[in-house]
Amino acid sequence: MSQPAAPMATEIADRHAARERLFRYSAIGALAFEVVFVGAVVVALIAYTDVRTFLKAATADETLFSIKLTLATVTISTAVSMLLAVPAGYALSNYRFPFSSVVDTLLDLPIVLPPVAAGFALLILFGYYLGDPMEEMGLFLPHSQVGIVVAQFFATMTFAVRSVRAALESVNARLPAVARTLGSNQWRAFRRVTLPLARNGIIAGGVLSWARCLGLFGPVVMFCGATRYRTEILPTSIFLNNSIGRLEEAVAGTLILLILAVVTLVLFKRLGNQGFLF
Amino acid sequence: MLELSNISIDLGQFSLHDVSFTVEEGEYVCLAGPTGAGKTVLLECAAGLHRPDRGRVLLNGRDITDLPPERRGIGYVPQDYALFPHMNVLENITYGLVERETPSKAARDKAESAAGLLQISHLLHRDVTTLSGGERQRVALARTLVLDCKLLLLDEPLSALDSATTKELSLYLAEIHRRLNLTVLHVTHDFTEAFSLASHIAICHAGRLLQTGTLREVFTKPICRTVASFLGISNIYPRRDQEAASCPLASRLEGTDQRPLDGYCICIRPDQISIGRSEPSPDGLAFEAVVRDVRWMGPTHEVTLDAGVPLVATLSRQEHEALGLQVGDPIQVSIDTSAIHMLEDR
Repeated sequence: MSQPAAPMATEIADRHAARERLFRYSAIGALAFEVVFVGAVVVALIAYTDVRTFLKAATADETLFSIKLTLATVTISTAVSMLLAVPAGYALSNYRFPFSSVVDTLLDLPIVLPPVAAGFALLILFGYYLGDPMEEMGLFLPHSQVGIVVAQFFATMTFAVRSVRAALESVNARLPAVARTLGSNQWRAFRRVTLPLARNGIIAGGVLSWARCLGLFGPVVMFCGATRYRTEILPTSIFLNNSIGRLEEAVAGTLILLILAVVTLVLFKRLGNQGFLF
Repeated sequence: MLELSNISIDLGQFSLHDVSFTVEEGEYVCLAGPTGAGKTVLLECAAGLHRPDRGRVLLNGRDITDLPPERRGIGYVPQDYALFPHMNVLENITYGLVERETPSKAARDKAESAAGLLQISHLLHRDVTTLSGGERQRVALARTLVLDCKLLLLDEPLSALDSATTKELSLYLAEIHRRLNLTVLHVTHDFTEAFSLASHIAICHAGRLLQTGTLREVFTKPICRTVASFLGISNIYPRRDQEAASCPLASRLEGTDQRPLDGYCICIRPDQISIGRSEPSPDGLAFEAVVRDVRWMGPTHEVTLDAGVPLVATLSRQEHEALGLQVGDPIQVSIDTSAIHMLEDR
């Protein structure tokens, strides 16, 4: 019986090359599919409208109201989130305390909690339990514009804390320690050494928190409802316009959100991709 | 000047157990030990970066255990130098002066003077991230020296540098110590650094301080096997080796003052072993051995002998050339009994 002929060296090399090509094309193919998918969504949105229709819908009173309300609430809730996130992130990264894993899990809850559930939980707290006493003080949060800020803050505070914590922990811990031996107290070492070195990461965290607030819908709609000219932020406006067939207005709102999202991404990348995108 | 009294601390990965240790004014002390011995933790306790679980830190007789680092007035240069990357060299050097609200002109003058002393005047406006290891070290030293601290804590200041820079900087450290009349506590894992710098040495191992003393005391009379091993002394014979029938050392020491005791090792420094071709004088310990290996170590040669137990001797170049040793040669060994040292077997 004759032995099968051993493969030639060139055949083996060809097989290796074919396998490498298959691997490369599979990876590039998957990437190409994802890029085309995102591109198609964006192109479809832009192709649906024209400049004149877009400008008309974008400058309509109701759209302008929702743009203003969105920018105001998002900016306030991000500012509050970041103001609290800096000391909270510092505490998480510098201090050891009992039940730290419980604290960590609790802080993560707003991320994993389904948005509608988060909004409903806020409604129970600020409506059922705290509604009456707060109303007596002149502040009833459900279905109010202040409530939008509270819902956005609740949904974004964890992102802010996590981003700030990551930014602070990216600074070599020895630097503030050496600053202490050079005469700085804790606050001065933080302000002169840690904070400037973590600055980009903290700003990036702020930008991403802002972006997350911008598109928030579930908790806001559950907690504050979707009342025209009252609690109508851009995502709510898109939902309302789509549900009654005013597609030009819905597309305009979506394009405005898209433009803001692109600006946010560019800012984030310019800040060196620091912090958490998700 | 600095007294660490019964310091104990447990940081999980590193710990110290009941460490007591004093550095007198003007001394240059090397705190030496292998990696993980707890040297850095001890230094950081002195600097105020860790609070010991037990024990006290005293500076000039004053208890500073509970004082924060910024109120201790102790200079500290960490192993990675920890230069502030968002500041240039000048801003780094004047950091502490700004904290002390020194007027900017005076701060600049002081920085320039320290930079002159350390020969880094040409680097003052450089970005610290572009500096070489040796330059970074000098900037870190200048940043500490401008504060006029009388006690300087240096954590492995020469470990990350090439040998030429190490040599140059160790000369600088010695000069700065002398010129500024500083007291220095220098942590190192390389005991040879102590020879060029220190007047005293403390050996730390596994969170305990094993021996302190002048360089000569510790090197000629190490207290235990761990210290002798760390100091690179090759000829250490625990009890079990001495009991072997072939060991010429223990049997010949019987009846002398150097008789090995339980729980003790025999230790003989390689430079105190004489070898020759002719019959040795009957004084001391003499026996025949066979050459097993000869290694060139630069200025000296290291000869490994088989004398029932392995025995390492060092020879100068002249001695080596005169003997013309070859592997397998029989050779006469003589050791003065005063060179045989008893160590605790721990």
